[in-house]
Amino acid sequence: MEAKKLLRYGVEFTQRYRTATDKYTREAACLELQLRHSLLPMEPTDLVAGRHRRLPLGVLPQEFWGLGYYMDEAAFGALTRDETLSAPEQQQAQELIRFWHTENTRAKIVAAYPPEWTEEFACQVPYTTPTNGFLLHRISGIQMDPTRLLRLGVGGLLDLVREKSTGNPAFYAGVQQALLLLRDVCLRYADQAQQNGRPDLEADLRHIAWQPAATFRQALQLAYLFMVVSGTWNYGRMDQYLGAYLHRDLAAGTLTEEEALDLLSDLWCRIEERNDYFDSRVILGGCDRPKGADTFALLAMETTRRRRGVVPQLTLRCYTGMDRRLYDTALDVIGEGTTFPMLYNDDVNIPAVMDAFGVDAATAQGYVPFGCGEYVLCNQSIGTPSGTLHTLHVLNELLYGDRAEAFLTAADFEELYNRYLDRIRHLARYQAAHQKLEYDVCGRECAFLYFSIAFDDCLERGLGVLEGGLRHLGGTLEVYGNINAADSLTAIRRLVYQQHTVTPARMAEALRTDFAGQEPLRRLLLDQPKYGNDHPEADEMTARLHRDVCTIVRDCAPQTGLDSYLVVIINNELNAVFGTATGASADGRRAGQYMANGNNPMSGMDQKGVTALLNSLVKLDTHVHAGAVQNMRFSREMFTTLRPKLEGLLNTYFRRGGAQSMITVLSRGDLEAALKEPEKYRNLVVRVGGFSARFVDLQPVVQQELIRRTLY
Amino acid sequence: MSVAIIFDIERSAMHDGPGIRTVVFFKGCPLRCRWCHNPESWAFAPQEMYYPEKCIGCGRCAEGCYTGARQLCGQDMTVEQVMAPILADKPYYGAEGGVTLSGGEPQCQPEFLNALVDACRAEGIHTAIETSMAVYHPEILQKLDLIMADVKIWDDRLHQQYVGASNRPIQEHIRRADGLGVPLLIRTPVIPGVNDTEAEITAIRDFARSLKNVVGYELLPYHPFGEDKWQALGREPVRFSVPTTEQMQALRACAVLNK
Repeated sequence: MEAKKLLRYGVEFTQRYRTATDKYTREAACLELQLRHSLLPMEPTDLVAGRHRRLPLGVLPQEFWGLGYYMDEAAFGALTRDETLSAPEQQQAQELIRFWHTENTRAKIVAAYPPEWTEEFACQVPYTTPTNGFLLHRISGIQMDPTRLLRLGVGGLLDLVREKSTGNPAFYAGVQQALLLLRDVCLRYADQAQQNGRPDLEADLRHIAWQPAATFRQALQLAYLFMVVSGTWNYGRMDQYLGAYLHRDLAAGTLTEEEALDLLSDLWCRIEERNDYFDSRVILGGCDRPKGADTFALLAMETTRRRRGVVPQLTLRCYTGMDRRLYDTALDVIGEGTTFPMLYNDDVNIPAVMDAFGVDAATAQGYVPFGCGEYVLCNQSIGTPSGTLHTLHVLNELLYGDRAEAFLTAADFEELYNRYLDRIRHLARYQAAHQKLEYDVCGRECAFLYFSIAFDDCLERGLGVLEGGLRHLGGTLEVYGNINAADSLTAIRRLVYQQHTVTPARMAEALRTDFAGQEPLRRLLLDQPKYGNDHPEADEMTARLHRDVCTIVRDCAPQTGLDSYLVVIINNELNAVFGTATGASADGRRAGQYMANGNNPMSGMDQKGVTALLNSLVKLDTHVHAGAVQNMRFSREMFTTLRPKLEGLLNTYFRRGGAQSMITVLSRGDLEAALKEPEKYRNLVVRVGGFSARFVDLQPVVQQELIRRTLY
Repeated sequence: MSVAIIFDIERSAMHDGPGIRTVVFFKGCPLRCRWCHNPESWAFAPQEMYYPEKCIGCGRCAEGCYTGARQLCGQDMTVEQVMAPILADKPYYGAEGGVTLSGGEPQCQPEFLNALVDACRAEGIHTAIETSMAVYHPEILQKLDLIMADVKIWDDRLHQQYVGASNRPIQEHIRRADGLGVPLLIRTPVIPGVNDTEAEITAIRDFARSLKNVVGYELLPYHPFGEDKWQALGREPVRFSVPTTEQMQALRACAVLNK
């Protein structure tokens, strides 16, 4: 936005914020202005309306610069120096910055921190700070079901809201304004479609401005616009809410499959343009979907196959009895190197979600991964990860850092291990309390009106999602370094406490100095059993630590007032980035080296073949967390001449308890060649942690970690 | 307790027989193929292998090498020890996969081989052998599900020169094994300058055609991946060129089994 326009926007947004009488109408008033600027005009060739850009000031559940009411101070800081602005205007920009510096929602959360939290955790980037973890700020991973909106239409929903307008009138007034805003967005786009000479599109947009969606095109358009205006970056169970419309139109002959593919391709474009490759999940599959859902799923996979983008993060929930064509198509598409869809195993995950979230089978049926792979209950729960815990750093502190007396004075391994768990328990409680504080402050400041329209119970209760409207208030804690910590503990138990070949003092000194003059000891540590090789001792330690950390975190929920608080082991790329700030570890890892990703073995340490890897993976309990990433890498040969063997492998893995699989398909030497000649490998897509990326776009430390991963 | 000297167990092998397999490598072989890519499989005793590029010069060799520069190849294992990784892999075998007994020459340790085959059969596991057929134990072979036998060179003079033994007993063993009723897969490593001629391949193909239980004839192109192991054993590797794709196509056209 050019300078004068941005300043005018900032002034008016702030004016609306300051003059409103309650948070509901305040949000609606701010959103009205915000949507006029963030939604961009249609291009003449667009099939789906809803181009969207980020704004440096606004109200959103999740933005680069914060959550709730946020401001990008750098963007407004530039206005204070902008020569096209007068001195009073520059002064005005300065005042906006001053106002929002304390008035933005994140600042209000941070202001409420007790000092001990910031003594234990880092609060803001850079992520290359050595720390026990970060306190994060976002309401991410909103996965909604727009079915009620599609069925009733904007008008029908307004009627419903008017009927309910008792108890909390301000809430319902805000909701009504939000719905009218959605109507206006549709009508604005209809006008543009008319100007662009697109009568069909215009008619669809005018229709959905008020009426229920009657066709696949209308349903897709209304659902997408709703998602965009709501501020979510994830798109829910698309085959579930669009499948029936598709089925009806195809059966009636009013839509062909090619036309549907064109629509989806344009929708994938819109999603790509929003430029959020950590989120952008589209979920397919699950056994509770309507007729036509399978057809939608097949077309969605075909769209991804044709486009080869890094989003949407197409996800397929597989289950016993699923139409075989879906699975075969999924493997075909993965085999082409798209990394999509990611395969989730409902037979394992639904019982796991029941246990972890404490819900019944019907509720668990609605589980969906969002973002990098955290589970929420679609349209019923929020479970944003608002903190990270670096279990390897925490261990290192006990071995040779500020708390090194723990190691030097431990009588035996169990004592050391229990001191470690005590420390994790202490830190996890802070993080859980932080999560609740974040929700509470956000709930006081924001209604997140569109979420409150879609989510079960909010309209009935007359409350916003974060002020008691939500059925299940969850939270998640991102854990990093757990595999390296477990491998370190395996090595310590053997060498220090069983074989007595290394004293605690010698180990601590070697780690503190990053093995200076101690290369043989490092090699000895590297030579100890490692997780990922089906080795009973290494895997038992990993499974034990995994279960203990997950249980400790889970048990924080009741005292915090959350319905669930669960570990997620989703490790986008931060396993590598955090690694740069993490000291040497007792698994033989050098200081500054990347750490293992997700539940995967340390890169390159799985050396006993893919069956051994898969056996190790299924040893980690899935019933105690809310999602863990399992990346696998196969050679192209496995998806061509050896395809039956690959299918045998995956089937056995899933049958034996494999929760999910994210698969990158490569030829040997691809990554090394891409480093040398990046321009020739622009289209090489890899699964990093919980997201996919073009390899050549990644940071060097992440590229190095990926190169070391085993290719089967 | 039956014990054998084993130099490796490869889990999830995709190229050593049908399905997903576990390959058990027996140490010790009566033949001395000049192109052998597993030269550490020749001797029947443990051997040290030395990879100088891995040595960090720490001078603590006596404590046992920290870096893997010095590795002891081969260890005595019991049937139970060998069965442990096999049983861990068993769920992945499916209908086709199983265990491949390889080497070295597995038939050189017959007592153990017999016990291992029995243990696999008791678990219902498909068993295959990769054998030179330089030795012959029909009482074991008859229990297997698949025999993969090499016919390396047809010309006996060349065979003696490059393999270190006559091929007559080998051919005789294969003929007799054909009477056991076990499916036979005949294989030939294609070594440029040695047996990469149509005459060689055609002769071996005709031999394969004369067998009644043969299920296939495969040509395996020479690869030089074993060179560093020759050096690690302190020997100079014998180098051959790698057959081209076109050459392999032409030879495979000669190797068609069905008349």
